[in-house]
Amino acid sequence: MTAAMHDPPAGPLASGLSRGLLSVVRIGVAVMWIQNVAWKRPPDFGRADDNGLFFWAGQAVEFPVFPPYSAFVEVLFLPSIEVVGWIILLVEGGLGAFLLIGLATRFWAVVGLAQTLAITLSVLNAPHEWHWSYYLMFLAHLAIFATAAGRWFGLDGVLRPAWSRSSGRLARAMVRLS
Amino acid sequence: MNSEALVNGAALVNDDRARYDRAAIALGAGSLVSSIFVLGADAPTPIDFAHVGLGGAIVLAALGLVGILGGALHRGSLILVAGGGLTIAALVQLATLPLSPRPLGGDASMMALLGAFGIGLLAVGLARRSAASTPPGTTSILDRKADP
Repeated sequence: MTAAMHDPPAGPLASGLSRGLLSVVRIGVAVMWIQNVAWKRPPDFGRADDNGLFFWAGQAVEFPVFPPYSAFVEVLFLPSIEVVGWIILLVEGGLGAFLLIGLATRFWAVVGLAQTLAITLSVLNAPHEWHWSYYLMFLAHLAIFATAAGRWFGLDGVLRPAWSRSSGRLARAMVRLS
Repeated sequence: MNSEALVNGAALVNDDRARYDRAAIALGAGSLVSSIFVLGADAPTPIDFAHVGLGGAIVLAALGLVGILGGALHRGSLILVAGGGLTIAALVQLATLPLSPRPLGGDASMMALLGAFGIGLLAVGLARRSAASTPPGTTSILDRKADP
């Protein structure tokens, strides 16, 4: 009886339905990044027409949220948007791709948190923005990280058994990143 | 190494291969289904999740089918061909994003789809090849250490 009292209750993730719903969250967040990488348009990322990434990044200067970040955007980000834009494009494309298939999910959840923070610091005070959009983005990535959401209906779940048995450096790293 | 360890090792390798084949079928199906976005050019923004051009749709559908066949027929080489082809297509899309029109059509959202299914199929194909090249009962160093 003592042992039974100390047995941990079956967690919600023991249910197939819960695991399926969690994969819906992961894939939904991936689709959000995929849809929004579409308007990061090289080569000038909107500088010529003051639209796209150039316009939205510029909101950090026009409506500052955190003055040091605004200074960074004004002095470094916007003048070199033809370079920084490619980095943003690759990061957001990678977020969409890797979260969609559930590979290295915890790593990409952390990248998503960082990118969400950058977006929040750019547009939180811009007109007509709903601040909870960005809080919810942050919380969704936190949930994906906390539940290691790629382990169900994702490639992390498929590949982790082999990674766990391997003594290779890459496999050990992938165990931690998934 | 006793016979029980050999049997357990062979079962482990077979389990892994079966899991990889099912994953290849799912990824191939995902690629095939995502080609449907080519029909959504005029869709309203809330459901306009990806912009897939005609060339990209053909690549997603054809190589998705190859991935499905690879998993269903237990042919790791087909899974690698599908994954490699989709990854190359994603790189072509990335390199041609500044151009207009682009050879595969679409935009960076299509690059993300091509890359997702390409990298996924490559990862599964390479893992499957690694499992296939390991003799039953010697699946890993850790397994060998566990032998009496």
